[in-house]
Amino acid sequence: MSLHLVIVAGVVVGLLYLVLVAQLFLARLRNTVRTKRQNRVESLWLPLLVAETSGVPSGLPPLDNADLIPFLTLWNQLQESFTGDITQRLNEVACRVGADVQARRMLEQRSLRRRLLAVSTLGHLGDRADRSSWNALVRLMSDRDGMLSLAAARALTRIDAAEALPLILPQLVERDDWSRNYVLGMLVELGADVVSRPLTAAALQVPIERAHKVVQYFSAAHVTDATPVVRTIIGQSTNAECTAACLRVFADVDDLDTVREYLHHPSWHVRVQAVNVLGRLGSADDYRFLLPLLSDAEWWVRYRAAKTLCALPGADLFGIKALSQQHNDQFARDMLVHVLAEANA
Amino acid sequence: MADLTVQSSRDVLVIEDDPVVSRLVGHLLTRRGFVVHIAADGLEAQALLKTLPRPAVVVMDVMLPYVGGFELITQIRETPGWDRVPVIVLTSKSQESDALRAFNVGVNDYVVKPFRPEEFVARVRRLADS
Repeated sequence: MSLHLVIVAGVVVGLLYLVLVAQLFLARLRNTVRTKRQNRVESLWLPLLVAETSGVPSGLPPLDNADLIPFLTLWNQLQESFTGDITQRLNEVACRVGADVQARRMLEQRSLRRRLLAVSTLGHLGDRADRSSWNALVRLMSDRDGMLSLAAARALTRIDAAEALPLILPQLVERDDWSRNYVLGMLVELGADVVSRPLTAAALQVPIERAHKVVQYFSAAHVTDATPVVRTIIGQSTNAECTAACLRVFADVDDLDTVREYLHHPSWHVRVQAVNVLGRLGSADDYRFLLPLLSDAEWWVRYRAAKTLCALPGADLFGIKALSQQHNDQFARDMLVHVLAEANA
Repeated sequence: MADLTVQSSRDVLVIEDDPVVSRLVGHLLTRRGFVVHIAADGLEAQALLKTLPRPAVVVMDVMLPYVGGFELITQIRETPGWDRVPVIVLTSKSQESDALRAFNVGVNDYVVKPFRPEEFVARVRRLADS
């Protein structure tokens, strides 16, 4: 009986091993075929897509179905790398070989990779007249997949930023899965002239306790548009995250009195942002406001306060050095010694 | 033994970890008659510093695996014969401040991605001919 079991187990293990080897072999084979195809497509299409002649040659080779994905991958990479007239040439080649039609079909397919590629392609093509693709991209912006929805938002901004922004901005509040850096990059790419007014207005239209979801992107806006809005929001909000986001925006010395009120806020996130504003805008007078914060319970507040003290206009480094030995609080002394060492003072 | 300090006026060393960008840059420069050598990371670049004759220009990213771009620029400047090789930093918009910082360690020019291909080639040619 036990010998029989051992034989069965041996056969099972052997079969599993064979399956594993076969899978590895197939994966390697697939990878080799894919790389060869990508290389073949690149050597055929790269000289045509990045030719030095201004016009697109009339006799373009047909785009095989099997080459569609590597072609669109290469085409999108070129779109991301280049700016200027060449992007129009890329669009013309794509339309001439029917890649635009294929991309629209790919939007409806199940494969996430294909849909992402299609979304990116339609964004770069930027055809404002293609309302069917526009509507499909608007629908995809609400997709459960965060990456796909964000890619759709970016594509919409590339097609028509002015029309896209009113659709995208409410999503900034709703979508917790959107990457902050990606969104900020997208808004910065659009430029403050396009983004500033709609973005700052949107912050006033959302519930006050969620306004920080919009305010956190105010670095993409003109400071002249952003400042009045954060002045309004900071006065109404009781959410520490929102207050901290507003403080990051302040860039006017007229707001320093308001900022100083937050130096003793219960949330250390707010206190540290208030100290940072004094670091950017403060004067020698702020020495007395910063001094008590050297004994703050939170390390980051003590650290930023000490850094700011040393960097205030007309800072007396000898006086601060003396303070690092004489302060009656051990934590304050340690932090001053630390910061002075960092500054090699 | 080859004299590694002899400059080849058509050789360009491209140090870039993104294979697409390096192939693209290679394509743009090759069709203008340059001979392109590619290093995919900081370690490959360090190896080429020892074996490659001094190129006309180095085109490089600052964000590189294994050995960072800033450290590599310093090493390029300390390599005998390479101290005056023009270096162009190829960088993305979000790293533009890094590119400006690179001037402090001896970079000659920088190009922000996305870029105009003809402008990029013109900058390489200008530095190669200088």
